[in-house]
Amino acid sequence: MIKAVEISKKFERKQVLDQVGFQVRPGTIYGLLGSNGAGKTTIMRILAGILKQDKGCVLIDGKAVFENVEIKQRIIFMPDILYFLPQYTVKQMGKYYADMYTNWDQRRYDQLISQFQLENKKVSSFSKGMQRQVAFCLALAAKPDYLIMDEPLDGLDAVVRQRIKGLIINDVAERDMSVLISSHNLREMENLCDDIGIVHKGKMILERNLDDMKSEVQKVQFALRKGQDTQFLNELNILHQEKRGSIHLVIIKADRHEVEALFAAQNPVVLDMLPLSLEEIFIYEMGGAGYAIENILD
Amino acid sequence: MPSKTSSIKKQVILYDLRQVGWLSVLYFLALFLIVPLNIIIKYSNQKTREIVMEKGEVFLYVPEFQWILSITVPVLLGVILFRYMHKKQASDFLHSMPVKRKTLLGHHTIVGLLLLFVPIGLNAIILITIQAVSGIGDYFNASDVLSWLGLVLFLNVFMFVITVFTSMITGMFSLHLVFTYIFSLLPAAVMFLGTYNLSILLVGFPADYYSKSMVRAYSPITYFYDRFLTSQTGNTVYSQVSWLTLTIYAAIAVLLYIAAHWLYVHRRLEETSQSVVYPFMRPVFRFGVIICFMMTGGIFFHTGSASLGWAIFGYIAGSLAGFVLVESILYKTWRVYTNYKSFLVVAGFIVLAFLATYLVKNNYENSIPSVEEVEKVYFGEFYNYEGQGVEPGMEPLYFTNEDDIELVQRLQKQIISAPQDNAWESEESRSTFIVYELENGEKIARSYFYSIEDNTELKRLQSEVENSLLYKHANNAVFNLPKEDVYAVDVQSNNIKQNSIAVTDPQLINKLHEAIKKDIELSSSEAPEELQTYSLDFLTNKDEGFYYTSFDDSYKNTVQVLQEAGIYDDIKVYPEDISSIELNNFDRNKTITVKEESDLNHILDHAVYYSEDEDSYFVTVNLNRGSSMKEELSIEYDDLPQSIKNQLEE
Repeated sequence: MIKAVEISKKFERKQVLDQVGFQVRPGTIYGLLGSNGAGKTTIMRILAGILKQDKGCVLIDGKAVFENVEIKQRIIFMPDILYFLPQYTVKQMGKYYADMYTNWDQRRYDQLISQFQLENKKVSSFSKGMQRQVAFCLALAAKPDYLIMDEPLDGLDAVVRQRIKGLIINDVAERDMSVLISSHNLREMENLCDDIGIVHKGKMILERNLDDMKSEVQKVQFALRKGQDTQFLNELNILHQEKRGSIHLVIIKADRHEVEALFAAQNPVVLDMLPLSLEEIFIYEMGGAGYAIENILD
Repeated sequence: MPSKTSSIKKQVILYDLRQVGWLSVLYFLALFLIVPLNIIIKYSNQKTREIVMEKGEVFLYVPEFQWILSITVPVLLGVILFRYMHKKQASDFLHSMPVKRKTLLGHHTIVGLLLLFVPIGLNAIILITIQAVSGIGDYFNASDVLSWLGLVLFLNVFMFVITVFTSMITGMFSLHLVFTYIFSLLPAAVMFLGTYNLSILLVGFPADYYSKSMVRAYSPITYFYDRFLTSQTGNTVYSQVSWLTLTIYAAIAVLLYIAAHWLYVHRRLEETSQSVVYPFMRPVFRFGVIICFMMTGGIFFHTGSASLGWAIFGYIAGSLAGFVLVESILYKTWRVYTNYKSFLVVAGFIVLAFLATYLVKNNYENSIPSVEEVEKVYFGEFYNYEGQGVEPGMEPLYFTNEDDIELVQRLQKQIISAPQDNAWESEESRSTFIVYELENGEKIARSYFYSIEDNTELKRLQSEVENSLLYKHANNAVFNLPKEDVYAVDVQSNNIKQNSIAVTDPQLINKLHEAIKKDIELSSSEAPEELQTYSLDFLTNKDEGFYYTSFDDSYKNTVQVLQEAGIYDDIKVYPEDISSIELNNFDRNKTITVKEESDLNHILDHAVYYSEDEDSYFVTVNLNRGSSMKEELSIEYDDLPQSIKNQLEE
């Protein structure tokens, strides 16, 4: 379990992180969202043991990460701008990681390399997308308990992206790996993450479990018979409401079954329970809280 | 299964070797070329073997290169090994690995040292091998090689440790190199700048006394330059390796490494790519740069003008330049004026320092110890901290007699009260170095540069000191020559005649020696510049070579001895030796040939070696026999005989 407790960090005189706290449960994927410069990378560099927080603490399985080799053995950090040792080939990088990480699985590395059809050439000669694949092969072959990735899916084509997502989800399910992943793209996180945290200007402004969130908010499209009024909606926590002709669209914060039962009782002409995108949930829910979420996420 | 707890990271070492191994190979080759191979080549040729090779010398072979390699290779090595610290991506990569920083530091250090030890050590082994199996062994033995090895390794390791230390201070690759050399020269540079500037501000402050004796030992670069480039067997202070200095250097190296370790563990990696990584060092850095630039500015404008006004201008200009530079390095922008407050803080310190100097100025300049306190006083043109006199083999001059000490003090007071700024233009200027050694073991040193022109009292005191027997004994080589080692005296004529006679008869040598000593004791220090000046070179078998002294016709005893020996006529130019004298005017469009004996005499008496006066004439002397002087003499128009002047008017 990764536990960040009220971590604060200043660069020079600028407050980059201000009492940020969150948890990544074992076997789950945590999505860290925020615009550029929000502090996501700094959080990750602290979690990876590269930087040391000024205040607060970062515990992984109850132990501090900074300069803790035993813990760092179980963490892989993949930065947004990848780095490979200069002039190193795919195989040599593998050897380097094998020396560093005791859990290294050479067979898996070879498998992944051939699966991605990567030749044994100097990594620097690869395209950006291929370099990203090498980084994933290295990360997954090291079999970390904690995988920290800063904007990892940027610049990958859809096929590779899907394949990598699959591999990550597979490891999470099989080995109970915990993943912390950052992105400024909500849509990308939607089908991947269990929990989401939104960071803005160095502060954690929202933290949610996605399943909870989805079951909490419902999008209903309905049309009532003539003469029927929408009085019954007043009992509900309506986040958003609009009407096109005779079709009503409401977003309600409530349990799905409750909502279904309530609407069924009205016997409407049209009744559809529509799927809600993560983005919509955030926009509708946060809009009420006074945050212009559109500005945070792009 | 590999050991889980192994703290030796093979791959880190392998990576380092891939990065810098080539440098070590090149280093080996370069050293091999300039030392063992060079020795073999020189030895294989009978001529070079005899002329060039010296016993016990391994440093003899292109020592400049040995020195340059020793101060560049370890630095390059360190810069490349620790480059990852100065690049954000590389730094993040390596520091996210499950390795402790101290393990990384240890690995890089060991690889660095290994890559220095191997090429130097291999060359030492080659040297020992070739001296063991060949006749080269006559020239040096294993212990010579070992002391070479020791010294070279010492400098290499020290430079490497400095590089490791500076790598921790900065977050920028390019500045790492710069900082390393600045850091290795800093103590010496600050010492030099400080003492030189005090000598601008305080009359009598002997900058050389402090800088010459210490500055060179304050930087490994200069200290080892002296050890590498001066003869090992010569046994001078420069070549001798002081164990104390080496111990201090070793201790500094250990402290620097410990400091580097501490800094690394506490390094905030987010400051990577900052010029100075640790915020607490930035004010120190700023202060240091501004002060150094200020002092350099002061020196620059003072040496050009010798005036305090310009020096002050230099201080202001230098400190401003230093401020602009340091702020643009620290904040990587030329818009530095926004941070003027930090300049004001430093400027405040500088003003305080100048005030403090001003407060002690009077006291410092006028503090002359009372005669009773003084055990002895050194008096000379300059001070040789090696304890030698003004020329090799000569003894330094110390006055111990109370009257003499008092005389020196009267002279010193006169110097202090005289104006100080006209010495450069004056034709009669003097440098004087005075060091009082007190009964309580303290030393008070002062040095002055001043003019005695137009100052009768100063002139009188100066000549009183210079005419004292002790002064003459100390400042004339003939009083200090090892008599038993003299095997010949070369008696040389003046430049017109260009004749020299070798005297080998021991009795005559002895007579000449006694006569010249007597004449020097009798002569006055203010001998006019004579054209008819001769010289005696006493040649000895000793290292120092010859002892030279010049004399003129006023040295009656010497002239007499030479006349008796029949040598005098060979060196003296008589009018009958001269066939003619040619006079050319300054533009060389008028030539007059002089043959009249009285005119010849007159011209010989008045000619000088060189005159800048445009009214002067060039004098070419043609002799009846023998070679004449190649270069021309000069004579001023006013000094020409009337008959010649008349001729010129025509």
